[in-house]
Amino acid sequence: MSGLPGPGPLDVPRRTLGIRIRRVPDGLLLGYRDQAMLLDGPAELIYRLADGARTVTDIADGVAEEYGIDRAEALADVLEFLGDHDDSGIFQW
Amino acid sequence: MQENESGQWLRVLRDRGLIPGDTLAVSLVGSVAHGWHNERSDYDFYVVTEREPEFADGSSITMPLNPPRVRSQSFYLGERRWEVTYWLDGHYDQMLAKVSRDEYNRGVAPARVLAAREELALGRLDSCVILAGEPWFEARRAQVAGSAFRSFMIARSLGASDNCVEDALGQMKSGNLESATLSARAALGSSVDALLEGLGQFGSQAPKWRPQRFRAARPDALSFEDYWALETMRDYDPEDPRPWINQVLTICQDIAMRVEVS
Repeated sequence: MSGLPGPGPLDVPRRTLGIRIRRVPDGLLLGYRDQAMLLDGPAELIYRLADGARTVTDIADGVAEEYGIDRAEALADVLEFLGDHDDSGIFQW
Repeated sequence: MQENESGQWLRVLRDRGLIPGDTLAVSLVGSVAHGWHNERSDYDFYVVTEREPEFADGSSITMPLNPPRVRSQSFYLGERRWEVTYWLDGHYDQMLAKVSRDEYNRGVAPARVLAAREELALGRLDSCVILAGEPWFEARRAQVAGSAFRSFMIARSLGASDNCVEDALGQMKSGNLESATLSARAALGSSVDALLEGLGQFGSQAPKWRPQRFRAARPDALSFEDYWALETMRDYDPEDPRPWINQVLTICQDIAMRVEVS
C-alpha cells in the first residue's frame, strides 16, 4: 500500500490467489484458511473489481456507476471496506 | 437423414439380437451423437433394460451399483467398432439417488459421489441421440434436472481446481516452476470443466472433447480464443513462467466467481 494507516485512492488491490470461492444465490462465499466470509451487494462488487489492474479510485467509480451514488461517497465506502479487510488476507497489494 | 440413420442403427442391433425383449430405451452416445466423430470413432450405444440381459458372450464392467456391473457387447461392422452397454433401469434410480438434493444438502463430498461411467451415463441423457424409448428419456431427463447432479459436478470440478491452485502457489513459492506450470494447467482444465458443467455441457471425464464442449456451451465468462490461448500455453515463457501461471490462476478465480454452484 502507499502509506499508513490504510489503503489510498491510488493503491491497486487484487484478490488473493488461492482463496476458495463459490458463487451461491446470496453472493460470493469465500473460504480462506479456517475463515469463511459471505460477500454480497457492494462488498461483492468491490471484491470482483479488485483484479490487480484497477486502482481503488477505479473500483470506486465502478461502485458509483452500479449503485448510482456520488463518486466521493463511493470512494469513502470502498476505502472503508478495504481498510476493514486489510488484515483478512483476502486482498493483496 | 437423422431419422434414417437412427432406424439403420437400431435395425443392426436388432438383427444381431442385441435388443432384449424388456428394453426400455436405446440411444447413441459419445462422439457420434455429438457430431464430433471421425472415421475411426466407435459407435457407442446405451441400452436400458428392466433385467440384466443374458448373453453367452460379451463382457462386464464393474460398477458401484446393484447389481455391481454393466454388461457390454461389441462387434465390428466393416472398419467400424460398435459397442453396446447395457444399463438397468434400476441403475438410473440408484445413480439419481446418489446425486439427490438431500445428499447434496447433507454435504456429501462431490469428488467421489459418482464413478466416471455413472457420471457419463447421467450426463449423456441430454446429449444422446434417442433411437427408442422417448418417454423413458423424458422422464429421466426431468429427474436429472430436479436433482443436484449439476451442483455435484460443478462442486467437484471447482474443488479439483482449488487443490491444483493451492499446489501451484506452493510450488511457485518454493521455486519449483515446472510443477507449478503443470498444476496451473490442471487447475485451468478443472475450472473450464466447471464453467461448462454450469452450462449443461457435461463429460469432464473426457478432456479431449473440452474444446468441442466449450464451443457448444459458448460461455460469456471466457471467449474460445482466450481459452485456447491458455490451453495451448501461447504466452508461456519458459524463462519466466510466473506471469503465465499467475494469469491462469487468476482466470480460475474469475471462473469460480461466475459459476453458480447450487
